[in-house]
Amino acid sequence: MSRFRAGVLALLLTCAIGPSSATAQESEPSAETTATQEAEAPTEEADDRSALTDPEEEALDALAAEVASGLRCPVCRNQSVVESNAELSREMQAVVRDRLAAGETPEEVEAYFVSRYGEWILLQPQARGINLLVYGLPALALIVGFFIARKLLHKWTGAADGAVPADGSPDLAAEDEQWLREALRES
Amino acid sequence: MLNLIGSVSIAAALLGALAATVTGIVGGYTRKPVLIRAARYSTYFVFFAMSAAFIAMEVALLTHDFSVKYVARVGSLETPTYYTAISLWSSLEGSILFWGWILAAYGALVAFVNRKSDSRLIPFAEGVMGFVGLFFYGLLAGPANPFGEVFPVPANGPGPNPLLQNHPLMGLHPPMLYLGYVGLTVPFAFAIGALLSGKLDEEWIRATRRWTVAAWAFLSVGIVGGAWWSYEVLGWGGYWAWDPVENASFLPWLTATAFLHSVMVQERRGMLKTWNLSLIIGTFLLVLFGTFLTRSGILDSVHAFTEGMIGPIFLAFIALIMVLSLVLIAWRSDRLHAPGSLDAVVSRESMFILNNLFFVAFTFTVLLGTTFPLIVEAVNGNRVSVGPPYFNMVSIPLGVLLLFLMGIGPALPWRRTSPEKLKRTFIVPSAVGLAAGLLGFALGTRSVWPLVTFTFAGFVSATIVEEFRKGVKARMRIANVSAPVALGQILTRNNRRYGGYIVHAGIVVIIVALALSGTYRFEREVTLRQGELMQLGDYGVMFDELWAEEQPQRFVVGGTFSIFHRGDPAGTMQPSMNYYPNSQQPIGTPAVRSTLKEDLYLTLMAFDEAQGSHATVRAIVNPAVPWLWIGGMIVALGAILAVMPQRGSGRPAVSATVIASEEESAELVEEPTAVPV
Repeated sequence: MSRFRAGVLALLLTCAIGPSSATAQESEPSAETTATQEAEAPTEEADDRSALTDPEEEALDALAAEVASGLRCPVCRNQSVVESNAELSREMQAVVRDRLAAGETPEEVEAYFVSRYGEWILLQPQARGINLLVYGLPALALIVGFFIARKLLHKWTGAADGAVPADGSPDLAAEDEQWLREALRES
Repeated sequence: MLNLIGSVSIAAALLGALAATVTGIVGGYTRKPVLIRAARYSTYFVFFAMSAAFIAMEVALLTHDFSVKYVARVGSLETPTYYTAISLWSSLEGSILFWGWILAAYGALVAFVNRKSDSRLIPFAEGVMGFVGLFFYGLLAGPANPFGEVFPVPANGPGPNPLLQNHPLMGLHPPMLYLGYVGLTVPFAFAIGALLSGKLDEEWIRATRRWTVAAWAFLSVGIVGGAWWSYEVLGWGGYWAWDPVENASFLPWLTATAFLHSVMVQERRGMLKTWNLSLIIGTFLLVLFGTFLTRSGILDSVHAFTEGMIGPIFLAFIALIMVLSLVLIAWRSDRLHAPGSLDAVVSRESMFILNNLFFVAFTFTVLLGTTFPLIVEAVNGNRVSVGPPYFNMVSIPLGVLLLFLMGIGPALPWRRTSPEKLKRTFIVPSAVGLAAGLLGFALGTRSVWPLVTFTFAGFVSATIVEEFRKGVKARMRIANVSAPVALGQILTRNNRRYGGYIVHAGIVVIIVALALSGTYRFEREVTLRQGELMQLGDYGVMFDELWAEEQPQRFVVGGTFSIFHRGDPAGTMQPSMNYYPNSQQPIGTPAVRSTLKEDLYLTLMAFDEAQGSHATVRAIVNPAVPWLWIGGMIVALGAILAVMPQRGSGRPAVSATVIASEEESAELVEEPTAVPV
């Protein structure tokens, strides 16, 4: 274990003399707030969790993870709370779980975070106001595009009608027949 | 010294690009041999000048010449040599230099390959590539100059962004992306050349087909490589986050894919001329937009972006290209008009048109979602996020539709078909697809999209196998050879078609892997004491000990975990956290144990720093993830096959009718009555 302790000491030194003043500042107040996150000491509760036998708890965890996956980690670049291991995200995930455990609906939990951080915290924009565009425009584009394609296809197939053999026999282009004849002669 | 060499080289490249632009375009119009030659040699010259700048920068990086601005920004004495060499693309100026060098290399290659060609398009294409070069070398000479002089010379630098020096894949995926991005300049240059010269037949498409496929393949490998990198580095157990940077590489991929398909309609039927020009111009605009998006800082905030100079210049160049292209298309509109004519709605042609509709709708949606936060902020000052939940919601249906088309399109003949033949073509694939869907259901999948995906994937796989079977059978009959020889022959003689099918197979593998890993992933996060074991599915994870290691550029704390698979010992895994002096947050290095079935993915989340007696670990079982990378390799293989020169009989390889006819040989042999013997 002494190897490990010496290593952590070296880590603290590295952080202190590193060129990033922000890091150095952070390491000042106490050893606890260095870039390292302190793991919570294993407790009875942790043991319970590692047993994970209670289906109700499991359902709560799953719901909390689902809600948290729709929340943005405020200090990361484009990660959700459930993906990030930043300290703030871990705390937010705990808040989500506690609020759900206290009987709040997922919508109420989301509303709570919106009231604290603004709409920006939601990874999927709420479907109202200007946000409706981000949902409506793709659908509109697809529908309009589909009708244009349909109209063009009708026009093009109509233009070709006169040229189609009336008996409906497989329409081999002359060039294909030519090639096949050559190929057969070759063999 | 290196500052001077670099700056002079870039100034020389700028002049060379100017010469190539003028001589290329004037030479293209006047057809004066001296000008055409001048355009070619100017293009070579630009490549030599940019190579000198590239080498100067690499030498500066590797010798830690901190008097060079870029080296002072991203270099450090402690960074390992490999990461020092690749830190060329870890920051803005270096990556523009890399972009410019690749552009110059593509230009020189185009000029060299076509040096004996008397096609009217070549000087124009060289001129257009010179024009694009003017912009990038201009950036390097002015606002993004990496060779600025730093005084006093610092003794050391901060090193590259820690995220970019944490995994060897960083040496692979950005060059692949850039080769793909910049490679798409080639078909763009020929398209503009066709517009300028008025030679608007299929020549520009045939001349650039292999360039486009190669660029597309690089881009695909770059995208998959980027996903792999993010999986191995970012530590959240995923590979695609719909990050704007990822979307920036995906957008031109979507339009380039649409282009690769729609040009076949023009080659066969002379239709869709304006559409194909617009698609490749749009692709190039998205390439510029992607470079802009990832390099201008606009993503962090609109305000940060307007403070820098690069962003507005980039935006102005994108607008210029867009306006010039539109003007050219309008100017040539009389020659672009080609009367459309199709024999039937149920034909391969119309499937390509549907394919294009979905790809373009996909592009529009991803573009809208990526830029929407900027739009909202510009409109009413609010900040919103558009993240994975949105993109997954819109892209899964579109992706599934495209998957379905991938089964229909290639199996339908050109021109027309009969209902009986349609039934014969699709009865077996439909049965296989249904079986795949039922198998998914039987194995416990209850969500709709995965089930639909499995069904369509089975359907598409069966049509691909069927195409190969028909091709081999036809070849055996025509050439009177055994099945393996016939397979080899169709792969080499008709490499474009069968290479395409192999690419399709790779895409099916990727889509199924996406569906499986998205649906069946499960994870647990637990704090373990030393010697304590936790269970996750078939796996047991036991915490053995913590260790720490000081390396020159960073400090590493890791955990050793013993792994058990169904109770049997299965080695150890060592996820770690890396502390870099220039980063406040530790950068994790997850540990991944891959089997063909699934990955076990461990991330060290926290540890007890006083005693090292316990550690918090997140364990994820990620099914089918290795198949993403395998699928990427299959795509690359198929693309390599498709760009190989056509082998076979003495017929001219570029004759479109021959290729087209050979494509139909399979269907013809199926239809004995149609064969005139």
